[in-house]
Amino acid sequence: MSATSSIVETKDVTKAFGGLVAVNHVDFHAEIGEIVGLIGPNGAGKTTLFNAITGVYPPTSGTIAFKGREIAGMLPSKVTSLGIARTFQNIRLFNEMTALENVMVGQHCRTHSNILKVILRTRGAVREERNVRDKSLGLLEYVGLEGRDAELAKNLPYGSQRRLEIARALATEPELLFLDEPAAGMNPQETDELMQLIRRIRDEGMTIILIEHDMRVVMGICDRIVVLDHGEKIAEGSPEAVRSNPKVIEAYLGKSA
Amino acid sequence: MRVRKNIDDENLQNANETLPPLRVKLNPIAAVMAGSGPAWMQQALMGGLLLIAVALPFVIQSDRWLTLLTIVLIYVVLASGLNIVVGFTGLLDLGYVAFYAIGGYYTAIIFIQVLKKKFGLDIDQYWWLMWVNLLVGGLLAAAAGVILGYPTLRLRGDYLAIMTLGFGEIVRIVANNWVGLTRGPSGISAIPKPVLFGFHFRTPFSLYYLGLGLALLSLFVISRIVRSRIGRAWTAIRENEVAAEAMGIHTSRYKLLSYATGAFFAGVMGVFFGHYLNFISPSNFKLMESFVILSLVVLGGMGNIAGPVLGAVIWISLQEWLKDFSFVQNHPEVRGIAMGLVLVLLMVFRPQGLLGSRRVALEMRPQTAKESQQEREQVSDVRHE
Repeated sequence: MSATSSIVETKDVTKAFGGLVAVNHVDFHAEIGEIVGLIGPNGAGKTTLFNAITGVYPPTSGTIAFKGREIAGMLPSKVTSLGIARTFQNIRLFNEMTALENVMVGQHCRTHSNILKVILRTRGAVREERNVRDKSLGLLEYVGLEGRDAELAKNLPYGSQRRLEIARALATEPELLFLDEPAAGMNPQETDELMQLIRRIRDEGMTIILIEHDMRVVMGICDRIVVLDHGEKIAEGSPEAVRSNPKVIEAYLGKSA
Repeated sequence: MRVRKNIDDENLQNANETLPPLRVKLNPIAAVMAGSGPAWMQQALMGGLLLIAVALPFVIQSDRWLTLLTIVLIYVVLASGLNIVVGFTGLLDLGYVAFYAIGGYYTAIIFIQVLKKKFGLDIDQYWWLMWVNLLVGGLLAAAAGVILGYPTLRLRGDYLAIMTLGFGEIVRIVANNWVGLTRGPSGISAIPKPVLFGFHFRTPFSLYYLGLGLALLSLFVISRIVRSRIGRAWTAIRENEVAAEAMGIHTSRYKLLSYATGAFFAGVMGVFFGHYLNFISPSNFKLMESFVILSLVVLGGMGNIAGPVLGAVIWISLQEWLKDFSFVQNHPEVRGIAMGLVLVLLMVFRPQGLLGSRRVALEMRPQTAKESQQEREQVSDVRHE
C-alpha cells in the first residue's frame, strides 16, 4: 500500500465547527479500484469527512490530495470536475426535473457550449447535447431505470431515487465515487441489487468510498473498512478484522460493565 | 428481476395517484402552451398565436388599443426576462425595474444629453445609433446585473429580496437626484422615434410591429437558452443548490449569468421604451413596476416560457379595459383593488399560476417527430451493443 497508488489521501485532517471537533486528525486513503467502507456510530464525523473531501467546506487543518493534487478548500464544482462524484445521505435530487434531466445535469462539467453557441444552436452544441442525452439514457439503463426517463424525480419510488442519484453522480464521469448511506431505507432485495450495482461500478475501474449503517452491505462488498468514533479513526482493516476489533465493538455497544 | 419490476410499477401507480389533481385536470390547450403535449400541436398553437399577433393591427383599427398592445409586448419581454431569474433560477428579484431604467436612461442620455446638448449635433443623423443602443443598453444592464448579483450570491429568500429591492430604489433615486445627468424628476424628453433607413416608426401601427419583432426575438433567444445545458444548470440551482454545486455546476457563476441574462432583456426593452415614448422620467421606474412585472410572472406561472407571456397579455389588457367603465373612471382607485383581488383569488385557487407549474423540457429537443424517432433508434442501437 504505497502512497503513490492512493487515488485520494487525507493527512491529519481536522474539521471543527466552533468548539465541536467533528473530524479530529484523521488520516484516510483509498487505493485505485478499492471499495472502502466508512463506518461509525451516529455523529462520528463520517459525513463531515466526506464533505471536507468533496469541497462542501474546507478542513480546519490538514491536507487532502486527489491523484497527488491538493484539493482542500476547492469549490465542490471544481472537485467534481477533477473526478470526484458523490451522492447524499438525504436524497438531494432536482425534484421538479425529469430523471433524464437530472442525469444530464451531471454531464454539465463535461460539456462546454457557451451562451452564444446555445442561442445559435451551432453544430457543436447540437452534437454535444445529443451525446449528453445518449449517455444519460445509457446511465439510466445502467442503474436499472430504463423507461423512466420522462418521470419527475420526485415521483420516483424511494429506491429508484437512490439509484437515480448514483446515475447522476456517474454522469460527471468520476474516478472516485462517494456514496453516503446508499442502502438507507431499502428493502433486502433492493439492497442486494444495490450491492451488485456497486460491484459493477468498481469493476469498471472506479474507486468507491461508502458510508453505510447496513452491516450486510459493508461486510459484503468492502475491501477495507475504516471506523470513526467521535471524529477519530479508531480502527482500519479488512471486514473480518474490524468486526472482531474490541475498540469497534466498544464504540458501537459501549464498554462492558 | 421480475418481482422488482412489479414493485416499481406498483410504486409508480401510487406516485401518480398522489399527484395534485389540478395538474391532471389541466386544460389541454394550456398544457400545450406550457411546453408539453404533442409536438405538432405545439407547433400549430405557436403558429396560430403568431398569426394572430401579426394580423391583430389589421383587425384592431384603434390606435389606443395598438398602443396598449405595444406596452403589453414590452411587459411580455420584461416578465420573460425576470422569469429567467425568478422562475428558472429561483432567485427572488424585487428590483428588476432598475435594469429597465438603465436601458432607458442610457439611450436618453446618449441621444439628448450628450449628442444634442453637449455636442449640438443633429440627432436625426444618428438614427442608426438606436439600433446599436438596443444591444449596448442590454449589455450595460447585464453588467449592472452582475454588479447587483455579486454581493447577493450568498443570499436567498427574504434577504435576497430586500437587497434587490434596495438596488432598484438606488437606481431610481440616482435618476431622480443626479440632475446634471438625468435632469432629475422632470425627465428627459424629445428622444427620437425609431428610424430604419429612412423609414420612420411614427404610427402605433408600425411601432407595434417593431415591438413584436423585439418580443419574438427575445422569446426565441430565451427559450433556446432555457432548453440547453445553461437552462438545466439554472433549474438545478433552483431545485437544490448544494446538489447542483456537487454535480459540477459553478453555482456562483451561473447565478451571475442568470442575473445578467435577465437584466439584458430589461435593458433592451428600456432602450425601446425610451424611443417609443420619447420621454422618460424616474416615475416610469417606480418600485411598483417591479411588483407588476413580478405579478405577471406569478400570474402566468413561473418557470415556463408561455406563463409570463400570458400573464402580461391578460394583466395589462385587463388593467386598460377596466378604464372603460364609468364607475372605474369616477373611482380610479378601484382599479388597484380589482387587480389586487385578482392576485389574491389566483393565489387561493391556483397558486401555481394560470399555466400551472407545467414545465418546459430542459433539453434541446429534435425538431420533428421523424427526427425524434431516428434519434431514439440510434440511441437504442448504441445502448444494446
